[in-house]
Amino acid sequence: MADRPRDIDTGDDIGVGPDAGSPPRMPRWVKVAAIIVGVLVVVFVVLQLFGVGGEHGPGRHLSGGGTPPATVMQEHPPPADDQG
Amino acid sequence: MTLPSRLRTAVLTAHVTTSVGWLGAVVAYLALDVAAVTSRDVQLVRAAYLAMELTVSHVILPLALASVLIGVVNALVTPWGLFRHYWVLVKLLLTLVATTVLVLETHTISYLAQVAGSGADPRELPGSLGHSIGGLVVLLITAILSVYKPRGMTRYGWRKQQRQRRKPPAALVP
Repeated sequence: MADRPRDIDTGDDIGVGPDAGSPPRMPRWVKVAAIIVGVLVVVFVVLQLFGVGGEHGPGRHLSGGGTPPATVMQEHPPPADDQG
Repeated sequence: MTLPSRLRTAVLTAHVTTSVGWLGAVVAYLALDVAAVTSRDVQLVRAAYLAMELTVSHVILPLALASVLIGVVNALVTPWGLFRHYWVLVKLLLTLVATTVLVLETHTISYLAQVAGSGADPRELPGSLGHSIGGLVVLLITAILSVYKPRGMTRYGWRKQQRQRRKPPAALVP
């Protein structure tokens, strides 16, 4: 099998196809990773929209896993900038 | 722009050190997180939350910021570049997402430690296992990418390489 073209500096397989004048195609591992990330993002958004996972952030921690005593909540309210 | 070999090795050493340190610190944090969530010992859970807060704010966050910054410098001063190869680009995106989530999560952990240290029963607090495990997975993926360097050059990297090949060597330019 003929050696695939490699980058001079890094030795990286540059993924150029039969026509060396055309830009390389996106490797399969990048496409698979992009699909996995896309699916995870969609699942996360759907869970948030339907409230399956509950609120995200400290509010979720304090209501889903147990609420500290009311006096503690009044003395130490959750940070307002971290509700997302 | 590329630096002399000795300087590049120094930058690479700093990048590897901060990145591996970040990974190790997250593993230590995960142990505290598990103890905080599973233990029924009030003193141990309280201590775990306080240690988690210290670990995040004094170790994990500084190491993460240093790793991102030195990683960007390391990419820019070597032939790999920042946007030329998919593995470098994916690693950059993963690290930026992890650092952003970490910065946001630091506020939550500080709040949990504040509640745990206030006298309330800390066993009612739910910890942050989801974020710790998610962060650890992302860091392991970036470590694997760094070692295996899967093939694939971006269109930008390819264009850059084509331009460099067309450029005549400096010694031949009159």
